[in-house]
Amino acid sequence: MNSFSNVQFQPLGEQVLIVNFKNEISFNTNMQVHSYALLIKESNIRGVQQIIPTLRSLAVLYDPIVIGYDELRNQLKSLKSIDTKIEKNGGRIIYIPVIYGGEDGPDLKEVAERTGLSQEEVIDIHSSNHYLIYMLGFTSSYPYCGEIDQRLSLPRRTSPRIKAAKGTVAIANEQTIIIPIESPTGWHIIGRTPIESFNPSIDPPTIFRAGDYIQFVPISSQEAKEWDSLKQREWREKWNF
Amino acid sequence: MGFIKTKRVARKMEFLEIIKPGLLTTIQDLGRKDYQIYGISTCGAMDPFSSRIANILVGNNEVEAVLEVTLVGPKIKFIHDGLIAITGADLSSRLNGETIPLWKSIKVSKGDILDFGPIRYGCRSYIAVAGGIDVPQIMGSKSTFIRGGYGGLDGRKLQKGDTISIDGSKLNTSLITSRKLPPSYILNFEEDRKVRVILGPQLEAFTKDAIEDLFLTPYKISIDSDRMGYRLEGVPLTHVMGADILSDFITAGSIQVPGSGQPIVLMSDCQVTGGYTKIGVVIGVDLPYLAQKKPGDYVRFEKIGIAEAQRLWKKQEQILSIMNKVNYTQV
Repeated sequence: MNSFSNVQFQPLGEQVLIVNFKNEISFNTNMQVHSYALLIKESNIRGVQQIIPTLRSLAVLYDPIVIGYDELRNQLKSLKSIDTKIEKNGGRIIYIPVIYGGEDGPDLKEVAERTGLSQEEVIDIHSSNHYLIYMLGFTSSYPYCGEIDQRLSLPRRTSPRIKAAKGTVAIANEQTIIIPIESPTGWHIIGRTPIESFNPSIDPPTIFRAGDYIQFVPISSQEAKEWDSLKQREWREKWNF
Repeated sequence: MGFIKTKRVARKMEFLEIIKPGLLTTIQDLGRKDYQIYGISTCGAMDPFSSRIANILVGNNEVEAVLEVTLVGPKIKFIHDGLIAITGADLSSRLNGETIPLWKSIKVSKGDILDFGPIRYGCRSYIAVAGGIDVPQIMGSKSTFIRGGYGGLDGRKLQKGDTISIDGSKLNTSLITSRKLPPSYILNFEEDRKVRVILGPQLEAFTKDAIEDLFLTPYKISIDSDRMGYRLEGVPLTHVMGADILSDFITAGSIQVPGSGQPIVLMSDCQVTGGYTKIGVVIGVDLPYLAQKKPGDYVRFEKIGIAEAQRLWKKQEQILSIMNKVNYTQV
């Protein structure tokens, strides 16, 4: 694991410090973000309230009454890297059932055409690897994951869709995402998961944590139709998450 | 067998009824700060200072939920005797037709009518009720998030006919009589005051002119502003390269500048991640002043250093901490 000598520190107001890594979306850079988040967490710096990883940076929320900006930055700078701890500690694999294509994945056909693959190949490629959850974001625990196979990489749609169903599985550039509540999206919708990943009445509200992995598992539309809370429980017991 | 503790038992008590809801009246507390790690919007009172003070004035814990009233106030009928306090904007609050002061606890009796008139100044009033507002906590908070459809009363703004309950076991009005905030602590929302900003984090994305323009000219608060963000109109702030960044963490007070160059200040209901460059962040002690501006008003920004901003925050928290202590010794 790299040392953290190349990170940059910046204030976001007087109560948040941002740590920036390499300016790219990549598995390696995001792994560094998670690794550093863990390092800060374990160092138990007084006054640090929350550590929030994002794509290529992380936010340290702190209480300025307990610790000032300069002191916090100096303490963060003096942290030493922790080798391969992240591999041991982070990263549950969460198995997500997906119905690909058809009305659940209205863009699958177009994705296949534009990438020169068959629809089956797109499904095989998308579900053949597990993806790191780079961050949980937007308003309702959207897991931003990557990086997907280069062969599936397409820029976002030029005209966003007004309505993506709850549970939509979509791709854009080198990333894939689950959209946990009904909302508009500019990403390519290739499928839908019947699993309920987000529920504001449950604490925590999402089954995901940034730093976990998502593995998509194709299921038939028949299986999806019969999906209920019992099925969800059986699925989670089977895949142990 | 464990020890037997004497425990206060919560007692749900219907306290007030909404006769007219006003423009946008919602239940808000200090929000879901601890859930940002799960990608959850914080929400909460737009002007947390006024909300905290309102609670303290009626003997509540400062984190309790209050009613946030926007521009056009509601008409409320009290179902039970109790104690309230109104803070923040002056929307001509009246009890049974008589003007009542802000920043002061006020006894109300069963059958009393609270209503509001014209806006004198500010944008949002806060109504705290002794005993706190009895709605379930969603992710540790009673705050309404209309976009998400959760929190407060069924995730929506208040409507005609809604009743609000309090925890009756916490209501003991005899212990608090006409508590008043010392005038020197009252925030003056009437005065046209500059809002202070810490520059960055994406300062290098802006031209030198843009950084000067931000502080030189006033910006108008657009009609499209809401609890998620204030869209500003004024001299466009020009970028060196482009307006987009790889999405990173954002918080209330962040000043995002998209490609149009017209800034957007993120507010309480903002998303937790954003992909536009940020030229600066409004400091914590000045957010209430911005939240009290309404569409059509102008805001002028002023640069401040981080050490000074932290000193001001500390000073504010010390004052609030003293006020809270007074509260608990009295109750």
